[in-house]
Amino acid sequence: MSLYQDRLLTEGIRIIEKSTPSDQFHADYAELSFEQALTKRTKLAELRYQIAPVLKHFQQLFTVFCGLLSILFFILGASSVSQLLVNQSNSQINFFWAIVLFLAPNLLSLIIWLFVFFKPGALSSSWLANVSLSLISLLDKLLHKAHDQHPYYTSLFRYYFEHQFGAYFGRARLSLVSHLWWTCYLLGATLSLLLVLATHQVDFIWQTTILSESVFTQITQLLTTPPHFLGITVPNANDVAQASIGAINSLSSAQQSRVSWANLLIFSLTVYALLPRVMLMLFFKHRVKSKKRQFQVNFSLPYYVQLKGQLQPVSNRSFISDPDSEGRDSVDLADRHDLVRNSRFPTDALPLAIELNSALLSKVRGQIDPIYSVSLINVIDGQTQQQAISLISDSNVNDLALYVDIKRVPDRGWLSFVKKCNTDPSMMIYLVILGEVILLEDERASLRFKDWIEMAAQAGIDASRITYKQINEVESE
Amino acid sequence: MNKQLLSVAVVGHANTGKTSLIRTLLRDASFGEVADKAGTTRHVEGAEIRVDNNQNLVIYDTPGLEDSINLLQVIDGQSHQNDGVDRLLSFIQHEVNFPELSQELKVLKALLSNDIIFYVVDVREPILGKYRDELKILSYAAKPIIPVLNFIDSPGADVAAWQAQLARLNLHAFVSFDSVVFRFSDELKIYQKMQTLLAHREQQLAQLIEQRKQQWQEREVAAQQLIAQLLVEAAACRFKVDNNEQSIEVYSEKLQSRIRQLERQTLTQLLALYQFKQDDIDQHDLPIQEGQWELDLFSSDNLQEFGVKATSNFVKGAGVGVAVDLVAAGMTLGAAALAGGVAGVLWGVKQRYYDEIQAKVTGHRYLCADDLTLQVLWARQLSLLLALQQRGHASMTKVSLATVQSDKIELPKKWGKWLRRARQHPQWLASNNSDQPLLADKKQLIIEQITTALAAISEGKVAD
Ligand SMILES: Nc1nc2c(ncn2[C@@H]2O[C@H](COP(=O)(O)OP(=O)(O)OP(=O)(O)O)[C@@H](O)[C@H]2O)c(=O)[nH]1
Ligand SMILES: [Mg+2]
Repeated sequence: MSLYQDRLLTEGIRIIEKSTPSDQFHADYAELSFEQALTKRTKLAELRYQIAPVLKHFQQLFTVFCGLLSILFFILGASSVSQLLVNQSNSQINFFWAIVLFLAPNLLSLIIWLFVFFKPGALSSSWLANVSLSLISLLDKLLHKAHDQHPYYTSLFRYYFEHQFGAYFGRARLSLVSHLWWTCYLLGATLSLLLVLATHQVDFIWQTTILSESVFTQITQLLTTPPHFLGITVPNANDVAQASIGAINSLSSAQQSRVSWANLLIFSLTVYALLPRVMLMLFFKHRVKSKKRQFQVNFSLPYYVQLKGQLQPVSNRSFISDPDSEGRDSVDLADRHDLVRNSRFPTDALPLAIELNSALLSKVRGQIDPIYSVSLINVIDGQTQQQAISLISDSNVNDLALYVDIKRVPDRGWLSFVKKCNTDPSMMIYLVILGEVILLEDERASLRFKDWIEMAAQAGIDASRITYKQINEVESE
Repeated sequence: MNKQLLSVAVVGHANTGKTSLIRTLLRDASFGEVADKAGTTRHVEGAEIRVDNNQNLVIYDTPGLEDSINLLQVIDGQSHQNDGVDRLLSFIQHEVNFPELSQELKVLKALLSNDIIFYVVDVREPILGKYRDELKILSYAAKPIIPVLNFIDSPGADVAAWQAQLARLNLHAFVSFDSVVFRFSDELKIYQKMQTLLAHREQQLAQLIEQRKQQWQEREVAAQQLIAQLLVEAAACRFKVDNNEQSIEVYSEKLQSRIRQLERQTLTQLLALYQFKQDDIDQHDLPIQEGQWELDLFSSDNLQEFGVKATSNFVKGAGVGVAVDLVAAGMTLGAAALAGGVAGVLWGVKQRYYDEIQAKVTGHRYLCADDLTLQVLWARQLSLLLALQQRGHASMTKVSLATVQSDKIELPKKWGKWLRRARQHPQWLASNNSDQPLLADKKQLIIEQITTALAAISEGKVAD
């Protein structure tokens, strides 16, 4: 399948999936570029959606449509030649009428085409596109049996032909089509003219009511210059004068003049009309082909951006490299709110602050230094830890009062320190948690409070020895 | 595996937001476990960040270092070698002697086995001894370290103190970050710092940065397109009604529900685009429930939130009639006439205006969403997009949408023109079941114009 067809298929799948790409087409996309990954997904999705046959059908439909119309135009062109034969015996052709009949509309339509072609968007939404589309629909109804229709037939149909006639392809496609039809028309005309000339003896004449002979002479001059260069015998001014209706030809020159008029007519038809059309047609055929090759799916559409996230997520894999073997210790908690009111703490204990910031520390110092016999140390690093531990073993106290900040998250470092302090099993440890807010009113603080109680339980501090002190309260006492 | 570009270990004290940082970098809210508590993460868990099809950045989450004072004492006590790495190795050799430091041990192993270290700091914390000891232990590993200052947008953040402390340890190249108020530029800064620290990987890291930028951009444009499409489709939405009150009322109801449905679709797509799952939405307290906006678009509460006085007209969800735009009709006529004969002209007119003309003749009219509805719709999407973009995959607080007020939103200059266009193209909304030619390209063109306008708006917001 060609790249273009793959991409068209991808787009078809987008039409079917509408705005949200399905995530059911699993495969390993990680090591591909996005475009490659998309192609792979398209192949997978196609197995389910089966839209390639539908697209193929559309393609055929389009070919049939162009073919039928080409034949029609060919016949039209062929039959139009009979228009040229002027009298009953069919032995005369009005030369200038023939020229006007074939060249003028052709030229006019070329000019219109040029105008429309260079006006962006005009061709793709033009009536030609609309007419083509409705004719194709009609054709489709005639050709297609309803029972084997794909469930998304209509939307695919709409998409496919919008795509063919739309902004990307439209100009090239419609140009190709219109040049093709004109080519057929002119070809039909040329061939049947050849046939007529081969089998009839006709005289070439011209008629006028209001124009003078010099006009015809000039036109002839204009038309004959190129073939004259090519060495084809063409009529001269004299022949023009003689071809005026009613002029009597001398027999000897008559045949020669016929041939040269016939040459000119056929030359004009092929070179002035048919050739440019054929060339334009070939050019646009080539252009359609190269446009097909260059056709890119618009990856900036939300659908594709979403798909990209799906096929190739930023993080595609997570894995545990060093698992935890112990599991978490969890502690059952008593109703913690009772504890808030529990404010009994001994005055003969050794007070220790743990990791208080300076503001809090000075407030607490001012508050409790008078209560205790020793001054409060703030344990903030390894050194102060050592100090505290030696103080405990030296002073021989029974009880320990720990002051902590509720904002700090209790961690294992705290725990290991408290365990180090707790050398004597008979020692009682009290925990005073300091904070600025009313505990029950602050969600965050009560969450932390819970953490502290859990941690205290691990340190062997009984819940009845835990107190929450609001710092303002400490101050006011 | 030559696929691996670099490996990063994210370390730090407990509860400093290591896992949150990784979630944000991965855009994956399901990575690991996050809780406001010490010791949440207990495994070393890795994840890959895709650079391109053959390169990955691997990032490892580690348990918090909680007992660094003890750890440092043990490490220093274990051996008297001068070299930090040797000290760490000798501690690791004797790991069985220290079961209580098993979590810290995992971190040490991660320190030694990865290319670069992110050290996450909670800047609300005072600089305590335990943090200094952590830094000392990190310095033993002799790996490049990028300190990541987290919680910079929280009250009590003391960035300057931390900066000074880190500078004293020769760590000048820090980045600040906040996983909740997410700024894409902060993320880029992390990678850029990596670039300066790892000169030999500069090229690949440049690629990573480029790729992330592109991705961010792509997603933003896609989101803007979705909003533009919603606007166009909501404006194109129409119902044919009889010219009497009862019929108008019935169809107003239908119009409302159709527009609600469109908004819901867009919402789903936006959330999918930003990879937010239902869980995340619950967790992040977006004003969204079960894939729907909490407040109905037409409810008076919502209108109040967007500063609209609920006029009775609006509450009815009033539609307005569409008139045939004669100027546009004239233009089509002209264009069609140019493109080819009379048949073409008639065809074009029939295609475009048959329905409207027929409705006029038979005494019907078309009901479609009025300007105010569309304005509120627009404002809601804008504020949602802003919220989604500034949301790290780790945030937990509520976004307020009330910051945007509809009388204060400036509408883009061409707003009126877009709406007129869209209203004239009922075929742009599939549920209108119009049989007119799709003109998808034209629709895409308008969507692109609106997207450009949206980009300008969001750029203005960033500049503010
Ligand atoms: N406001 C704010 N909150 C954050 C930020 N980063 C993390 N958090 C919150 O901080 C808490 C801890 O985050 P985690 O990511 O679990 O921290 P951690 O470092 O992984 O914790 P452990 O795994 O326990 O070591 C959570 O409640 C997060 O929501 C941030 O940048 N700003
Ligand atoms: Mg964690």
